[in-house]
Amino acid sequence: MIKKMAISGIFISMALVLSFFEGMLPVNFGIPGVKLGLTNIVSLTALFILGPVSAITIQLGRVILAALMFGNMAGLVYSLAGGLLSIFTMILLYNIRRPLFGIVAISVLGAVFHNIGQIAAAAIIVSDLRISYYLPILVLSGVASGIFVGLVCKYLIKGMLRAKYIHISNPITLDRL
Amino acid sequence: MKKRRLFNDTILIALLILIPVAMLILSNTGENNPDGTVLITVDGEIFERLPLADNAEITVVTNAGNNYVIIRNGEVWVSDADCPNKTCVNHRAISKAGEQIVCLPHKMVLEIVDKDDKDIDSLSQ
Repeated sequence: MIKKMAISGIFISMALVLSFFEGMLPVNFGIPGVKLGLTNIVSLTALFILGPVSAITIQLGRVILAALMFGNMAGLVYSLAGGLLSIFTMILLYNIRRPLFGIVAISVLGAVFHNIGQIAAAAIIVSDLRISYYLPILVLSGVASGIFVGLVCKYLIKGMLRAKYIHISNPITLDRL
Repeated sequence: MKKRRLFNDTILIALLILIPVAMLILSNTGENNPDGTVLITVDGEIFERLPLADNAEITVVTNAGNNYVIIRNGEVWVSDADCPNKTCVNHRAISKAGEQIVCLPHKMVLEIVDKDDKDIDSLSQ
């Protein structure tokens, strides 16, 4: 239990480093919400090797701390909406046995719903519910980001299993990789 | 199990690519209509409505700050704003019906609508 807490703390700081690094990359597209989503690597890996509760904690922690540390409190609402929707979707997919979704699909849906959550929060705050214009672009962006993150996590976890750094006992989880 | 998983994943991702692409293609077949109207709303209330065909410069005044909007040659964009992230300024110019430029800190939505579009479906108090 304490070990999980300690590791979760380390995960949060890794997510913050990734967030900072991602902020240093020259902004590509000029469309709000299109980003690499590298921090989701940490969240998704946490879900698979630490469990859903730790994953939620890490997601909450990294969203709030990132907003605090990088001086973006105004954007906290959107990040929180997207981040929470994302992690809950991923947990939901993780617990569904049939149909069985692999880590890449979970990552893709997590990324897509992260964007949807952010846009929904923006639509509510701006009092304009006509968000349909941005949806196709955001879904595609989420798919791209999700595939990348999902593949990174897949081989990361597989590598850790092979190097015996971690041990996963649930066979269904192993099937998802 | 593994085959099933690969199948499910592929179907899901294929759907998530095809449906948005289809939506994009469908929405782009409505071309530049010089008939369009630029609708500017702030916090859900209509601030200004301008024809896309007439060149104009307008300052959108909100509680949080100002956005400087330019309409020229059938396009509209935000030339400057005093919001912290300037996403609206960096956005490329829009010209087609349905396209939007949003300034979240100022709660401003700049949208191109058809002239006879009943746009009362935005949430206004």
